[in-house]
Formats: sequence, C-alpha cells, structure tokens
Amino acid sequence: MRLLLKALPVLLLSFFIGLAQAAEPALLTRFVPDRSLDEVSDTLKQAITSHNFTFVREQAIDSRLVPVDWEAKSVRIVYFCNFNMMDAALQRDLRTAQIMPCRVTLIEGRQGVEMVAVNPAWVSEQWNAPGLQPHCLQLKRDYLAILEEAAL
Amino acid sequence: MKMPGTVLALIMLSAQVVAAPLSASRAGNMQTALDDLSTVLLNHGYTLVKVQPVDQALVKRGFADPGIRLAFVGKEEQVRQALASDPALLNLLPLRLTLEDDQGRVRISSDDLAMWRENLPSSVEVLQGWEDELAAILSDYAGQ
Repeated sequence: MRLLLKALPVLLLSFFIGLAQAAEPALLTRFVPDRSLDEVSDTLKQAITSHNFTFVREQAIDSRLVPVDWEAKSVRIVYFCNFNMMDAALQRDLRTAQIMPCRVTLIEGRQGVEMVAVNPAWVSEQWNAPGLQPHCLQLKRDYLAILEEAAL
Repeated sequence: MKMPGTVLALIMLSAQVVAAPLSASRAGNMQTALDDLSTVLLNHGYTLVKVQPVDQALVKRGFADPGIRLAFVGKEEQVRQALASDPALLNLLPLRLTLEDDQGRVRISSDDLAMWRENLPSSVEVLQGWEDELAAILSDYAGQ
C-alpha cells in the first residue's frame, strides 16, 4: 500500500500524459462539398504557397503502378514542403524524414472532396519524442491553416 | 493491493512502448543503393514510384547535406487493398523508404507501420502484410 502511494504521483502523471497523447487524432481532415477534385487541388496549391510552403508535385494514388490512362481519377496526392523547416527537422531527428515531404491526399466522392493529412503531432507522440512535439504541433497548425484556406 | 498497482503500471508502460521501423544496411553509396533496391523491388513485384533526393534539394538551396533520400515504392494491389479495407490507408501509399548515407554504407528504413495497427484495427492484416513484404525487401537488400 505504501509502495503504491509512493508511486501514485508518477502513475497519475503517466496517466494524464497518456490522456493528453490520446487527444491528438491520427488524421487531419476537411471536407469540401460541391467541388471537383481539380478545383480543390487548385485552391490547395494556392493555400500551400500562401503559407510559405513550396508545391513539390501532384500525382494519382496509383501513379507509375498502372498505365497513365488507367490511373485512379478520384484519389490524388499533393506533396509540398518548406526547405527551412525540412533542414531544421532533419537536424533535430532523422526520423522526421518519415513525415516528409508534407502531403495531402484528396479523395473525390459524390458530395465533394475530402482532404486528408497525417497529423505530425500524432506521429511524434507515437515516437515518444517530446523534443519534437512543439515543432510537430506547429506543423499541424500549418496543415490546418492550409486545409482551412483550401476549403474556403 | 500490490497487484492492481503493478497491472496499472504495466498498462501505462505499454502505452509508452515505441515500435521501431524496419531497417537494413549494406556497403555502398546512394546510387548503388538505389540500383540494388530497384532490383530487389522488382523481385518482390514492387515498383519504385519516385525518388525524392532530399540531400540534393537541400544542398542546392545552401543547406547542409543531411545524407537522406526518400524512395516511394508500391504495388497496384495495395491501392485496392486500402480502398477495400479502410481508405485511411491511402495516406500511407505509396510506401516510403528512407535511405541514409552512413559512412560508406547506406541504411534503408521503412516507415513505422506498426503504429498504425492500433489506429486502424480493421486493417491489421493488411498492414501486417505490407510490413512483412517490406521486411523481405529490406532483408534481400542487406543480403545482396
């Protein structure tokens, strides 16, 4: 009993850290109703540029896996990056290569287009890398700002 | 009283366990590593979709060379699997490998797919299948 009481603050701290970690969703999503994939792709690329990121490339989800004519028309990937952030991130931790370059997946349905990105703050939680978390939270905010602007 | 405390501590510790990505290393430089990797990928029915020369892109802009390149790899079947299992899996495709220049050797690491298994419980088998294939690819790369 005494041992448990001694360990209680540590256990409670771990518990609340765990709760805080669970708060980050794995994916960041925004749905854009009544617009085509091409339209959302265009506004997304404008939002990328206006937030000081560089558009890298755009491709179908199955690009180079099937002949060009057979590529999926309804799922597209848009890649982008910020070279200053890329350099700083790699100097901090080479694992950040796993979230490079930045990426949004566009999925077109009957009602509109879903924009989806992997949440970098969730990834750094999974790595148990508290030193990276403030930077990943900033990148998450950048993603959300870009998605918001693209959805306008 | 000891037992619940121990169980609680174990549960909390297990939540903090960090899964490691798959990794393999062999002697060579970036170019030979990419050549070797391309051959191994073909043998496993994979396609090298794109190489992202992060090292060259950063050096060209005046930054230090991180000695990193990214290779995006995949199979058509994986897109079908993702659509059938959980569209969230599309965010992992094409699969990413990180090539790291390490003093005369090049280490190739996969993304950590294990961390997605908890998040996408309905896709555990699909993820495990992809992970097994990447493990075989990296094993062949190391043993070439």
